[in-house]
Amino acid sequence: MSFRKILICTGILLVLFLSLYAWNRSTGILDDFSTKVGLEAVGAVLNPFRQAQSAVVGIWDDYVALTDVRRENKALAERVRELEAQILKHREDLAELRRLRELLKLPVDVSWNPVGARVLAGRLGPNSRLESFSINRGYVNGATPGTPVVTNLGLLGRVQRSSAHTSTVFLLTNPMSRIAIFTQKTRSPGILTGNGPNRPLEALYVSRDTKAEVGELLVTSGLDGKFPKGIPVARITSLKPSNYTEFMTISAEPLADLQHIEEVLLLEPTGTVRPPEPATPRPEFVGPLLPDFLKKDDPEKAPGGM
Amino acid sequence: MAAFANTLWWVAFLVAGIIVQAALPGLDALLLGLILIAEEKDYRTMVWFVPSVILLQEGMGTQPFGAAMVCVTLCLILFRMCARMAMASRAGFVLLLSLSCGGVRILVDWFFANLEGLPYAMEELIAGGVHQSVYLLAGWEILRRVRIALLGKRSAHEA
Repeated sequence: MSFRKILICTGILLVLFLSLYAWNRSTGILDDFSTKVGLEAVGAVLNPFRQAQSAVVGIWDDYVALTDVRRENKALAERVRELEAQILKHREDLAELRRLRELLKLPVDVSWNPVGARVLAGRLGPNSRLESFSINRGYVNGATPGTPVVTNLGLLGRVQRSSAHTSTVFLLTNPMSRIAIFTQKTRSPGILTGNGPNRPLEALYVSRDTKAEVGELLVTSGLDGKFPKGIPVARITSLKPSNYTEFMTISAEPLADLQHIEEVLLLEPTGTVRPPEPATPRPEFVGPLLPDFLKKDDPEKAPGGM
Repeated sequence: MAAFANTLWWVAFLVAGIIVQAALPGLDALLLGLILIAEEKDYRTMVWFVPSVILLQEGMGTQPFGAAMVCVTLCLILFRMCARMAMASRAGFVLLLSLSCGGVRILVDWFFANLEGLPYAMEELIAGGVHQSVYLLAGWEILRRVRIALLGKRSAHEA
């Protein structure tokens, strides 16, 4: 075959491929098909493999190596995780309570239902360019695209693709991630974005007159409608006015441990709408005085040890 | 019976390949099977194996459909080219094709990162290509010998 013919054939193939690619980007048909078939087949292989692996490791840990010590350690580690999750939840609850006393009377957020899932694998295959992992839940059991994924420590990301029983989750460190947040104490709004693996997160569009500090937590604001309000996401590591924009340059590190994820929680929307906050300021509250511990500014000085 | 055993072998290879890819993030473990099938000139198996590999890789990936298709096509083209360039020496053929497939990996990753506007680090792409080449070099011979031992299948070179 002459060089000219090869060149012409290559050009034709390239045009055909780009047409197919553009068609798929606009319709998503090939993506859906490959997700439903390919990802489901991968889940069907990895799920039993992980269960068998856990069983073998469990037998080794529980019956061969230091039986009682490991069992006790597991139970204690589980208890610590539960307590850490409670502490974070209570910290956010106290901050909210201090701002508006009326929130004491508002119902707990019933818009989201937590569903457990197990991590099957990290980046799978050569076409996983972005930070992601696979879980053993699909669209039939709570993991539709867009479902938030959290751990006891904080937000992990969102479900990106899902087949019937397997899904791929995008981590919040991936550069295409955008999360509406505000600072926990000072309530300055912003957008948290990732910069890739092992790089700090960046909080964009935070006003220059913010009183945020290094070490302060960033929590979801719920304003984007994608994540429930109040989930801890990251901790501020550096903070300075930007040289190029009217906003602050804020770097943050994720609260969740992104390297050692085994089980996660999916937040499935229940369809119940949380009552909206009042648009106009409420009249001054007249009622019983606040307990002493709620009057203090620093939540960490509250009795009960936060 | 031989055809059934052959099909079973390649299905087991797909399962093992998925597990290897779960253990080694970013690696294309299924490409090795494609190369071995092309070497044996087993076109009947290739008819279902190639679409299966493409569907699996596209399904488990995070990019839009297309990268696996391009990679498989380029590797098969390179297979034909390398077979012509290294006819006398099988070792030379294996080395040349493994390096070329590593290069294809880098090229495809770079192309799709630019097409989709994704950030990338050239060092990571090159590292991925090197890992792919090393995997093909090491896995090719091992898989071929296991296949000969279990099924008595030999490549077109050795037939």
